[in-house]
Amino acid sequence: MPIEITEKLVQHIATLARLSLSPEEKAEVQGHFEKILRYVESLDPVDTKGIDPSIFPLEVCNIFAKDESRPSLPVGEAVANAPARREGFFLVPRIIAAAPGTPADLEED
Amino acid sequence: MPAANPLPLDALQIRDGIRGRRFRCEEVIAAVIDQIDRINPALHALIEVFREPALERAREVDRQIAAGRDPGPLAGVPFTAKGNICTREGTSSAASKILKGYRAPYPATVVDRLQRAGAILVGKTNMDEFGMGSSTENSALGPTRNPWRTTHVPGGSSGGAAAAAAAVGGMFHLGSDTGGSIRQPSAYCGVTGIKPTYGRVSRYGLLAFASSLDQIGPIAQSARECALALQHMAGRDPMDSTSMDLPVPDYLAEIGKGVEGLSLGIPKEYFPPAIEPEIRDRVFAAIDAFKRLGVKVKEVSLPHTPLANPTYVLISAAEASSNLARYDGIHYGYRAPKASSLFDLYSRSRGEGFGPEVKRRIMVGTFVLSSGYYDAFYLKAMKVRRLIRRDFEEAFRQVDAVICPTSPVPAFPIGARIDDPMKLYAVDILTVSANLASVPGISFPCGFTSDGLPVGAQIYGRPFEDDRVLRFAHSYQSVTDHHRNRPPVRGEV
Repeated sequence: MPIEITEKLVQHIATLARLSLSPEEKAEVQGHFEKILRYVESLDPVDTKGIDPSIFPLEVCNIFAKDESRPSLPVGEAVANAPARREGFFLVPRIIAAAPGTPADLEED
Repeated sequence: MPAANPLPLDALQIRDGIRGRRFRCEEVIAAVIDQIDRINPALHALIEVFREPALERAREVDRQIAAGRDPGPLAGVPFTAKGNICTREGTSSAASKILKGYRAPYPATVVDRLQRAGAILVGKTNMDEFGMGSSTENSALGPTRNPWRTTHVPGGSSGGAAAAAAAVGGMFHLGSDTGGSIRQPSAYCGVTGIKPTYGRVSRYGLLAFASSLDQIGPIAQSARECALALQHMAGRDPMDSTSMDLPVPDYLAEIGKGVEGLSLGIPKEYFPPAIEPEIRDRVFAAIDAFKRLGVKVKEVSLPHTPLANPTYVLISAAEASSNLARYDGIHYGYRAPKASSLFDLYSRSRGEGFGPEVKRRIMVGTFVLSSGYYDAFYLKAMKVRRLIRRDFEEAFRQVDAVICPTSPVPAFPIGARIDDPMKLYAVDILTVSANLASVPGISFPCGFTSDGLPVGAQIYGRPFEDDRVLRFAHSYQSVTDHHRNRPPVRGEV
């Protein structure tokens, strides 16, 4: 079944990937998708009936860690690379509308 | 104190010279960093150099030796880490704008182990952003140049590491390999690099590209320097549940055992018409050298080889799109200004922070994992991956290892392929199988094209027989001099 790579499909994938792309980038990706689809066509005729997908590179069973607490990264270090933070928290844009009478909005540092 | 110049020596001679007090560690580290400073303006191999911290550690090694204490089995040996390997020193940005200035809160296990063994980190090397590329042109910090011809690429993605290995002696460089990123630049720069078996080396602290394919390994001028480095990198790490709890052989002892009586397969699918004739000739000359060393050579078949690169393109993109979801403009790195919503913050931070090739692969990966396309692409690719693995299992019932070229072409001019991603992907056709089949692969220099560019030969071995692929390369290097050639940019040292 041939897959048609439309602008709408590219936009849908960009939304899923949380990637904002310029119109030029979208056009480029559209062309790239077409090339990739042609490139991987050689896999179509391969008979893979009854073949187990190789999900994991090594034939190993589960490896369990002991369920016990261990020292972890201090909060200050864990958030040290965050571009916007306050008092050990990551700052994000407001996702719930402000109710009347709430204190002044938390602005980014 | 004799004023011996340590730089023409290899990493083992450096280690022994420091231990034997023939030179001080501080002299070695100063000489290495001086050499880096000399070559780096032309090559841009290193993106950070840690002169003062490295010299301080070197003085500590010297103090330990003077006090008669054991400074560790790798004491004083300089090394670098690729930009996607976390270090306490400097930044770990994977050469991406989205991680500009990122300071890792902990070092990668391999870096920690090497430093505990006394090795001295002198800098970070350039790479294709997040390991995505075969030329080191996809770096947000600008390209690295090939030491043999500075108009040409060094290969990639560990191009900075391979260029540095060719241009600075007496040390080793940590690279990472997802589809050839250690071996192909090693071939282009005339040095030796090994991608260990998946699970041999901890990936903890490696910024993930494709988690079922990624592996860290050393690049150096010779196989014995790679063996020395791997000795102190390999082994189980509780922080990486995919690192295997298997004994680590004494690599330096193993590689000295010779190859007489071992067998090498020539997989006919690895010599397709796309291979440049001169590269084929050099690799066959290497095969003749192995015959003279007593190796039995026979033709073998890896029939699914033509499917390896399409399979790799799908699986690596799928895993990348998942791994790179963590770069969100919130936890670390680049954040788009004045976002109007959470969605807007995510998509603009990512759209502005990632480079073109990374965006392409995230898009392809998201596509092949998305509802309606998963079975046709991702699941199919994972089934074909199983067939590729079976090819190797079958071949390794007949021979101990297989030999082939590392790349179908030698180093190409900067800019020659970057505008056509498919042309760039095509140089990976001989390296991706090692990652898909989780087998060890080593690239080592086996001569030059008539045009003066290095040619690499590649040996694949059975899983966890990293010692054996090193042994083949070391035996070859014991009777040949290709690994001793030095690029002109290196100058008189």
